[in-house]
Amino acid sequence: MPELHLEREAIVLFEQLLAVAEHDRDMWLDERITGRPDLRQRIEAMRQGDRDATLRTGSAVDELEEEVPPERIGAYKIVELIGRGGMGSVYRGERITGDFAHIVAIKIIKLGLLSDSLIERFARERQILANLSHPNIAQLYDGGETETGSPFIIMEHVGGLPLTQWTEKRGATQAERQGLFITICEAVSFAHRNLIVHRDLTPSNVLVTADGVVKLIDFGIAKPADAPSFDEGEALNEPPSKASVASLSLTPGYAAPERMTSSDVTTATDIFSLGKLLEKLVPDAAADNELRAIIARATEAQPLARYATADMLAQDVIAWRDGLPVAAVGGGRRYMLRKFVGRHRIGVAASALALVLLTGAFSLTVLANVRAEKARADAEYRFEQTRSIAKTLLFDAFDEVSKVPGSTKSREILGRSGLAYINALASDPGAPTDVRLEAGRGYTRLAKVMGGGQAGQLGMTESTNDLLAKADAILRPIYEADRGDAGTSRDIAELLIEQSGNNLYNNNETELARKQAIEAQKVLTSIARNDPESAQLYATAVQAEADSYGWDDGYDKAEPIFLRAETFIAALPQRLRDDPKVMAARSANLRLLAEAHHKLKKENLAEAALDRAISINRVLVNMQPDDPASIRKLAISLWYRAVVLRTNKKDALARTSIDEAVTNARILRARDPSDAGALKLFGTVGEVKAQILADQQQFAASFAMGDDVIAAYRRLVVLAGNTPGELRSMATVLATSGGNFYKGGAYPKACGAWREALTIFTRLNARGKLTDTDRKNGVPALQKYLKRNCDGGAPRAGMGPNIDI
Amino acid sequence: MLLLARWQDGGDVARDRLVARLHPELAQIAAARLRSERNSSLSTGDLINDAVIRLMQLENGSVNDRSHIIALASRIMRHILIDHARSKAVAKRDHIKIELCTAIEGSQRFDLIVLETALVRLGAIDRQLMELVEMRYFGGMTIGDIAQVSGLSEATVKRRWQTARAWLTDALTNSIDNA
Repeated sequence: MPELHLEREAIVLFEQLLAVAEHDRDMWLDERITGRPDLRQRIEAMRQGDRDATLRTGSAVDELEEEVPPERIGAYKIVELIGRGGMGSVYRGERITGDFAHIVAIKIIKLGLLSDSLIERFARERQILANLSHPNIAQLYDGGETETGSPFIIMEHVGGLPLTQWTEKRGATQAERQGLFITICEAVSFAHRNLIVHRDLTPSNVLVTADGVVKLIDFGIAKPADAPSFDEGEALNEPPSKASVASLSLTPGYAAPERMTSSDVTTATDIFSLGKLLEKLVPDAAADNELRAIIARATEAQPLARYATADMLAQDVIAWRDGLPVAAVGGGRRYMLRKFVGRHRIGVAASALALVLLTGAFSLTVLANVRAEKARADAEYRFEQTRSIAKTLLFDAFDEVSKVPGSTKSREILGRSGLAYINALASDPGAPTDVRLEAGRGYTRLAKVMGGGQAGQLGMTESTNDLLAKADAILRPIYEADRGDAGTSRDIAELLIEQSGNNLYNNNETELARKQAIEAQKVLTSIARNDPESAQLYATAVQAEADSYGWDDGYDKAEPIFLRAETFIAALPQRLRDDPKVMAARSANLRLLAEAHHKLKKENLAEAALDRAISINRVLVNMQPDDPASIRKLAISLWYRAVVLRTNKKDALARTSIDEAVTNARILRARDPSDAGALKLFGTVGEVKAQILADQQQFAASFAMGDDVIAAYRRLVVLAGNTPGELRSMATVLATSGGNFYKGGAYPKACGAWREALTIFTRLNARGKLTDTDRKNGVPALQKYLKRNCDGGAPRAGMGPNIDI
Repeated sequence: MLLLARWQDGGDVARDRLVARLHPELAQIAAARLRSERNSSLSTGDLINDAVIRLMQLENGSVNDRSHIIALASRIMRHILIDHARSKAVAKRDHIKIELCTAIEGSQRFDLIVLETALVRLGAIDRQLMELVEMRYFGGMTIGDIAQVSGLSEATVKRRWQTARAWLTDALTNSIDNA
């Protein structure tokens, strides 16, 4: 059978493709399947399938799980099931107030269907939609999570029929149909002015009540922001999933890059759907020249060629109804102008959060720009203006705000809103290289705030992966096109270092992290000694390479590489060596070098390296007293010196060092409660303080510290969305704290902590994410403790001072 | 050990006996899951693993048998779940089927019956891929266990599983359209 043969061929090729590096895949494929449209279509379909893949290990049984509706949701009693779909169910809910029953529709999403980050986005979108109040848009009242954790929304219950059913049943007149459509356009336009895109306008999402009132439902929540936008085609006639496959096969493998990014869901998507809706709504549309022109304009393949706003579409329909000239028929000059202005249409996309932010004066200006059809010179001017505002948000304001305590969240907001604009500009195929560079740099930067690297961060590692991938997609091609450019080299090196850190600390992908660190060094080789930025990046890249060994306890391999970074800095000219950026890199590397020395039992070398790191950090704090990063670095170096001193049995010195570290960590934590970096720092230093207190027999203080530390780690796991890295840290701290509790005689507390730690490791193992170190050391140690001290009879004292896991 | 050895040596009788032993245990696991007994923090894979280990203790099985028996259990699980889905499909028809946020990213649910149809087709194209889906998706087996049963390296198992998943997701997307 030829079909089977093709499928086998596609499967073999796809499997080989998986071994090819992500960014080389398109080229790799081109070399192999040119002239084979059938094979290409199958491969691209599988790649799409890979992106959408939802089969989780062992989850078959979940598909059948009954969703038992709760009896009540909030103040509403669930009355009956209205409908059921793939994602969950819709119920009718009732609330009795006085003699009057308030009826609502309650949509409950099946449990376990959305990732934590999606649940969060779902919640954010709910907030925006709740503020969207229009007579022709079904009102969203409330939302939340059921007791079992399923997200739900409560909305206006619309007793009506889908648009086309209603017109059919009523035998609606031409005038009625026109009226309905104009009302729909007005509602859509209202939403667009509030920067909300419906994304899935279909007759079944437009209900008409018995009184003939239009209500749009499922606004904005119907689709993910990052659904590839080629499904905007045929939105009306076909289910969205097919449309995406169909249009993908039209231009297999050649889908424009911006189609792959979230920046692409714009108001133009809704204009297209409105055009299709109009076609469906008016019988014999094809017979009417003017109407045909209106539909054609609304459904232009090029988003920029469509009506710029829903109002303009409505105006043309009104003109057609009233027998006035229809703009769509004119074409020509208006089209040209629209094309230019269209370049500045902001992709209303990315995150719902960005949408909230865009409601300020700034967005009004931009929207006004979109609507006004002016000359090209104006358009160019506004392009520059938009760009400069975006750059200000993304870089200048961002840097200023970074110095303010408690600003992690604000930085995310600035970063995201700046990116929304810069990305809209960058996704224009004709965008200048430097604009695209700014977008790529913006993504790297935002990734840092979200939780990739070392500085203050929100601990949202899921989105970090995403943001880094986007930065990669933009920066890579620019770098490949001009490898000689120093600025681009630094950008790509910075991205690689960030990816390396993210892969090491968040994804536990050691090999990949090392590869990226080495690649970053290669990129910088020729410029590493030219300027402070390059020198700092180079030293950090070497350090990242070393750390990729250290993370898996390969300290013998890590030590010479840390030394190489130190040698590199030591050999730099004075002006570079004394630059704060380079000093910061140097002290970080010395700290890690000390760790390697310490683990290799070279205690004197370790202490010496730490003393140097601490004195560099004290200089940095004096230079920049308000900079959280310097305080953080000082705290870390002090903390680690305490660890080393403690091992060397210099208890009093250790205590002094750790006290100063905890004081600094508390300062940072108090400055910004949403800073995961500060929480992590507090957890790390607090853990050691608890141990030192226990060494000194101050058990009450030690337990209190231990509880504080465990609480910090719990919060970190939540912030990060259950990533393996955070779970591993949590398990480790539970294991160590258990040892402290045990030494102080708090046996049940100790056993509880150990049991929880073992449970976490077991779950990590089930996810295939247990590290070798933990498998070999952590798990057996815990099992031993539990067996010896918890499971068999009376607990025993005397487990030794250091339970090292 | 004896049980599996006899099964491997041929002898459908031995295999049937193994199935007969496993089936009720697995049906019970499935039923408990379907009743939404969420108090257990163990995954389906863990539960199947436990059931197999219990069986092996009864039969004095060796460690090497475990992964093979889990693979067999995965297949049984597939049958149990598909049967269940078919019987439920009848009961479901009372309700209007509506589109409900069908395209929210993440995981999209689909009909197990549709999946089964696609899986049979995949089996005709590449039997090993079908068995992989069986082991991983229905049985919740670890990559390590699958590598042991299939004789492939872990890296190959990962790639093959990713391929099977991509193929199936595409097949499911298309079949929803065709419905």
